[in-house]
This record gives sequence, structure tokens and C-alpha cells, in this order.
Amino acid sequence: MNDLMKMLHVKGRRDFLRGSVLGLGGLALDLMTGCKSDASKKAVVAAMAEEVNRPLVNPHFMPRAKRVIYLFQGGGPSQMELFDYKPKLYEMHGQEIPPSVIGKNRISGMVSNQYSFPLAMPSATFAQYGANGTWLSEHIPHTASIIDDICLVRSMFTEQINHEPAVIFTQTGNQLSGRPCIGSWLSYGLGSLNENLPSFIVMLSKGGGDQPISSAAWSNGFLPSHHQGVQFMSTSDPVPFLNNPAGIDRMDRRRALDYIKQLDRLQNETWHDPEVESQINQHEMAYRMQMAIPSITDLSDEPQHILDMYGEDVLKPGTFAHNCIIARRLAERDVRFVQLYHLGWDHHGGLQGGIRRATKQTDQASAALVKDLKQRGLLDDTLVVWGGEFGRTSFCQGKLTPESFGRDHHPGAYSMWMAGGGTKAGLVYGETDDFAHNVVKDKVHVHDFQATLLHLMGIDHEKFTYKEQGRRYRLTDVSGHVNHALLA
Amino acid sequence: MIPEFLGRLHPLVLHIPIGVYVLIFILQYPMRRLRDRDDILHSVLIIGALSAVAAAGLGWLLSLEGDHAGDTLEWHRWLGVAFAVSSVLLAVIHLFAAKGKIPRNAYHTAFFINLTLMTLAGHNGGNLTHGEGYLLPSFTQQDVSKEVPVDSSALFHSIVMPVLERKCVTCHEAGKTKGGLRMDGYARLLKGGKHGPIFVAGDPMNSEMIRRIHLPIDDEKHMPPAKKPQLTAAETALLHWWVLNGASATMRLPADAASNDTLNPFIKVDAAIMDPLTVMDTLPSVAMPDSTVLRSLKTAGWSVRPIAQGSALLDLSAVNMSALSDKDLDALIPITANILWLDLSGMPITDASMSVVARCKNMRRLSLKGTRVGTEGIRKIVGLTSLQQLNLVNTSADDAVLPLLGNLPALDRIYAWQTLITPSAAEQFRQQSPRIRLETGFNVKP
Repeated sequence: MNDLMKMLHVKGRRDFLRGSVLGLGGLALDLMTGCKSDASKKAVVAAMAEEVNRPLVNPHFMPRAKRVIYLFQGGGPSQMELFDYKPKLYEMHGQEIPPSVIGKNRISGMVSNQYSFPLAMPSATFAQYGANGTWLSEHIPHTASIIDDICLVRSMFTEQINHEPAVIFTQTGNQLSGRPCIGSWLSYGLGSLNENLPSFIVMLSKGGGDQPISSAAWSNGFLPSHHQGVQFMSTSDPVPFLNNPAGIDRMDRRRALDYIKQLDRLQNETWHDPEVESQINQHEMAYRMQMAIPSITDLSDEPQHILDMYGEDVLKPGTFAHNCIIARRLAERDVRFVQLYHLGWDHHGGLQGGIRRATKQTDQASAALVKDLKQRGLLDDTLVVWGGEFGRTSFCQGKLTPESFGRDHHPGAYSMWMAGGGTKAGLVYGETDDFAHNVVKDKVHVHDFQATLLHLMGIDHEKFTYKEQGRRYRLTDVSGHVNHALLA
Repeated sequence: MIPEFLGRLHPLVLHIPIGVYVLIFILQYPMRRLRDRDDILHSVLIIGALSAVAAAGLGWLLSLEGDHAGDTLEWHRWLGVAFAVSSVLLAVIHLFAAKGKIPRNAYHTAFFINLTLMTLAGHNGGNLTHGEGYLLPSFTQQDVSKEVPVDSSALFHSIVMPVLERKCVTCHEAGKTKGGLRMDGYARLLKGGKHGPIFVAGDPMNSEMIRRIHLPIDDEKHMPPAKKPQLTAAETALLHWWVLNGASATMRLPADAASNDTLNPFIKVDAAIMDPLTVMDTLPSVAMPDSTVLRSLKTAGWSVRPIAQGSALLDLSAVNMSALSDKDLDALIPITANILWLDLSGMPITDASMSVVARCKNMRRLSLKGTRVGTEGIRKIVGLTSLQQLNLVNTSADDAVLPLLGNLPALDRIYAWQTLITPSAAEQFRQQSPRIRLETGFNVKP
């Protein structure tokens, strides 16, 4: 490589500017502080060069939760078919939704050619469950069985109406991709508890829906890249190429890695690129995972009655049930953040069948995970989150027929639940209007939820920042309030 | 330069017409010494008129400096001008009256009008310099309190005003009314400064005060000025919140103030609501652990973390260790007082190791899940008076441990799934110790 290329790559433009400013400033300082003591000169220079981005390492205050399992339900689960019982919708089935209810709310482009917005009655019957007699749908009998252990929020609202920006908004606090997601923030801020496993693991279910999910949802954004979510494949071999090829043993691996590391370090003396450090980190992590992963994915030590709890799919790699039991095993090994993505809640049409399919895939395993964590004594310091990116409209999308109807995206009101990790068990929080369209009591914004999540992890969301391109960023951007009502 | 200098002579010159007209008044009415001395009166009235015009002119120059603003200034300005004009007119009227062209009473009427204008202009000028209510302090204060009932839960008085008093009022009060703005009281805040109102209730984005406090500190218009004590982030947020929520003087603290992040820093918080934060205060205070001990523990494979930044209490876990013998636990002895949470899950330790665990007097959570600790080991730790959670999952603990644990004063949760504890013993324990939650699992199939 010629010298010019070297000059171009050794340092970025900002580094160059910063370097020159510091250099010139240093010269000037030298002149100005000529008569001052050496120590005071050094103090001034050190203050100028102070590093702004430092991980927290330890929480701001005593945490309630040490780990999080986030069961993300992509597509927008219908609150009316699951958690938010609205008798009025049965009475007014087929009638137009009152314009006063819609108000100035956004509706999506998908219903813009629709002139009529008839209300559709939920394709579910409801009954009361738990100590508080909470109304829940027939579709989620298993979740209903743990209603006294969960904290149900019926008053969530978001700012985004389309999947990608809404998912990214929920995960990173901003609708545009490029910011770090919750798991990356926690991995960066608090680090790993188990040094043999990544602190942030992502698993996608197969067989959900056709709605894609982009890896921007588990991106590290501007944080060092070894904090991005490590995605497990939806196969029986979740981390590919983990086994050594024939003829190579662990010692060979170690020696190879050590030499590669030396080369990396040598390179880094020239490049000073944080990505090289990340690469070294990743190599070491992969080496340790060679030992740790098989013990995670081998379910042969799970007794049959535990497997039965999670449902019949539990042994099929890539199913939501399988991912749930893996998530529990990761939590047992103190993995900081496990993110599951289940897609298939986007019921624009054929909702009756769709909701049945989605709940069948997720209800039993979600509830089993909470129960299993609880009986192992892990639910006290593990936060389980269940929810999607937005809710659905109470009016029908497309033609309303007895056999089939659909619901469109609705950011104005939706439901989600949390369990353990210091949340208030048995709480039902917030209220929507008779049409589950607007939140009428105790609104919870996505940023409020994120602030509360960080609070449970012992972090003050306003003090947890990362400076990038001249500005300090945080997960909750410039808003968000910890909702103390949700805390035990 | 010269206009500025002249302007500053206003406070001096303004006293000349006052002296002149008061003197005329005294000589003219109580002393009746000017009856037939129109010549003298004429000269004095001209001196009065000239000095009044001079005072008004200089005052106008002074107002250009812009230290003052608002209604009071405008009143003072135009009353001053009116006074100068009427002083000239008075001299003219006197001239005509002395010649007998108009009745003498016209002069007397004009004189009193002139005197009234002078008094009003002077009073407004005094208010401008010394602050409103300077003349009748007790009287005006009653006025303010009538407007803003003082109540311990009135948000403005209990929270907002103290912030203003700390950071704003020193420059915006009587005597130092920067920008014509006074902030020492709700009524004065409402009035605003020389550029008008400083906030729009409910609309912080269009409120000058809120805009100014959010400007970068090196901005010339940033408030408080760079060299003065700055608002904290919490105080800035509070002022913003107060304006957003109507900027009312009578609004009371909302019921959920404690859980409101903005108001919270300013009120005494109910301990029950702010749990994780206040729990920190109720934690035992212990000396910082010896860092060499911590280092050797880490080298041995322990995960050692302070419970929070700066805390001497530790979250200790064996999650990264593959083996741990009873003897290895002796390494914890120097720091037993610091251990708040201890996780020994899955380690092949036995009852013998519990003698070290029993020393962790401040410990709140203990996990013995999947260890070889049994009832005899539990017997050793019944002196752990701080213990809140005990995890015995997958151990050989049997029915005999339950009576031992029932007396632990702080204990509120026992996890005893997959142990030798029988359902009937568990049921009996739940009845005897309803305070303690005993979890024996959801699935009891063998």
C-alpha cells in the first residue's frame, strides 16, 4: 500500500481534526501555561482529551432484573382478539365506527381506498381469569393461567404505523434504522454475566408469517459492533460451523486463533480501527461458544414433563416453543438479553384463522416460559416481555363477511405484557375506549416502556448515553418516563 | 457615548422641576407670598418648564439604553412627556392670566393638573427604579398573596418559585430589573419583560423563558448568563413542565407527583413508590471490600460485581466456574459482610461449605440450586437474618428444612421445586408461615 492510502485510512477526518486541534491547543497551552507547574499543565491537557463514551459496567442503582427475555410478536397482535375485551364491538358489529372515535388518528394507506369502516366483532369469546377476574380471550388459555403472574398493559401506544419503522422504534427508540437496540444498549452498558456466551442473543421463529424482519432490529448501531445481537439459526445447528472440522482439534484452534490475534493486533497498530478490536472479541467469543453452545442446545437433559409444558413443537428447531425453552436455558446461564422474534400477527385478512394459528404457536410456550422461570426461582430477576410493534383497528379492513375479515395496523392503542424482573404481578394497567381505538387512561408510550425496562435493570435512562457525531444519544432519545405504577 | 452620558443625568435633573413646582406650591398657597409677584412667578415657571423639558428629554435618552422595559416604563415615558408639555403650557397660561386676558382660575387649574402629572410620572419612575411595591411594601405583598394562595401543595409556591429564587431573581427583581423583567412573584412573572410576556401558558415552545434556558450556554441570550449559577437539568425540566401544564399559580401537586420524573426530584418521595432507589438507602453500610481479595476471586473464576456503581455490596456468582470445592469457598471469608447476592447454582458443594455461607450476615439472595447441599447444610444458615430469597431447587432438601426456615425473619420466598419436600409438608408450611411464599413448581409429575 502506498503512503497516501495509509494517510487516508490511518485516521478518519474527525480524528484528524481532533488531533490537529489538540495538537495546536497543546502548543498554545504550552506557551500560555509556561510558568505553571507541570502537574497543572497535564491536568488541563487530560481534561481536554477526556473520553466521553464509557460503559456503565455497573448499574446506577440496585437492579430488580439481571436479564431480559423479550418475546417480540411481530406484525401487530390484535388487542381486541387477545387482551382488551370490548363488549361494544359485539353490539355494534357491522356498524360504522363513529368518526369522533377515529378523530384525527392516522389510518394506513392500505385502507385509504375504503369508504366504509364497519366495526368488526372480535373473533373470540372472552372469560374472566385470575384473582382480579381479568377478561381474556379463549385463544390464550395458557397465558390466562398465568394472569396473576404477569403485568398486563392495555394502554400502550406508538408513533409508527408501518411494520419496519414501528419495530425499529420499539427496539431502538427511533423509527429510522441506525440506532442501537435495547439488547445492544444493555450489552454495552452492563456487559456479559456469562463470559462463555454472548450477552445478547436473537432467535427468529420459522413458520410465522410472510412479514420480513430486518437485522436492523438487533443492530448495535453506533455502539462497538460486538454488542450486536448474535443470531441463532432456526436449525438444529443454531450456530453454524461451531464443530471443528475433521483433523482439527481444540488445541489447533487455539493456536490458530492466537496467531490470527497477533496479526490483528499488528494491523491495528496501523489502523486503530475499533472494528479490529471487535473482531478479536468475536473470535474469542466464538472459541468459547464452541464449548458452551452444545450444552445449551442439547435438550436431552430436559425431563418429558417440562417439554410437555412448552407444547408439542418444542423439539422442532426454529419453532417459537423451541426458542422459548432455549431462552430459558440461556437465562439459567445468565445471558443478559435474549430476544425472540415471532412473526405472523399481521392479519389484514382471514383474521379468524390467522389469530388461531398465531396463538397456537405462541400461547402455550410463552406461558410455559414464565412458569418454568418461576419454579426455578429465576422470575424474580428475569424480565419477560411479550408484545409487538403496534395494535390493530377495531374496524374491518376489506370486506366484512361472516367467514372472513381483517384488521389494519393501529398505533393508537395496543396491549403487551411483562412478567417478573420487578414488575407488578397481577396488575392490569391502562384503559382504552369502547372501541380499543384510543387510550383513555394511563397512557404508556414506547419510550416510557423502554425507560421502565432500563429502570428495572438498574439504569437511569437519562444518564445512560453514548456520544456519536457530536451529540449524545440514549435509548429513549429525548423523552420517556419510568412508569412506577408498573413496578412491584 | 454622549447620549448615554446625558441619559444618565436624568435621575439628577428630574429633581429640579420637582423642587421648583413644590416650591411654587408652598409659596403660592400656604404662604401666599406670590400674589402680586407675577414677574418672579413668571421667571420661576420658565425655569420649571425648561427643567421639566430637560428631564423628559434626558429620560427619553436613558430609556434607549434598554435596561428597563414593560408597562411601567411606557407609563413613565408618556407621563413624563405630558408633564413637560403641561409645564410649558402652564408658563404660557400664566403669561396670559397675568395680562388679564384669561381668568386667574385657569392658571390655578393648570397648575394642579401639572402637579398631578408630575406626581404620577415621578411615582412611575420610582417604581421603575426601586420596584413596584417599594413605596407601600406591606400593602402590595398582601395583594400578591391574595392572588396566589400559599399552600404547601401549591406547585408554584412549593417547587417552582424556590427554583426561580435560587437562579433567576437575583437579577430580575427590584433594583436590578434586567431586561425590564422581574421574577420575584407570580404577578410580575406574568407581566414579562421589555419584550413582552416571557411565557405562553401551555406552550413552552413559544415561551421566551423556556427558549432562553434551553439555549447553549455560550449563546448570548442563554439564561441564566454563563457566569451565573446555572439551572440543573431537573430544574430546566421543571420550568418546562410547569409552563406546559398551564403555568398556573394555583395548580396543586398532582397525586402522582412522586412517579413523575420531572416533579420527583423536588418533592419528598414516599419510600414505597421509589423502591429500587430507596432500597439503596436501606441497604447495610459496610466497608469497601479489599480490592486484592476481589482480584483473586476474579482470577479464580468468580463473577464479582458491585450491586450498583460505588456500592460496597457485591453480587457474587459462580456462573462462569466449572467446579468449586467446599474448600474454595474459604476465599470468600474476607468479604462475607459485602455479599448481598450469592449464586452457587450447579456447583458440587456440600453441607460443609455452608459454614462460610453462614457468615454472610448481610446476604439477601442465596441460590443453592443444583448443589449437593441438604438439610444439614441448611441447618447451618438459619442465622442469616437478612436472607430474603432462598433457592433450593434440585437439591436434597427434605421436609425437615421447612421448620428451620420458618423462623428466618426476613425470608419471603423459598424455591423448592425438585426437592425431597413432600406436598403435604409444603402445604403445612404454607399454613404455618403465610408470610413466606413457598414455590414447589407447576408440574409435580415425577
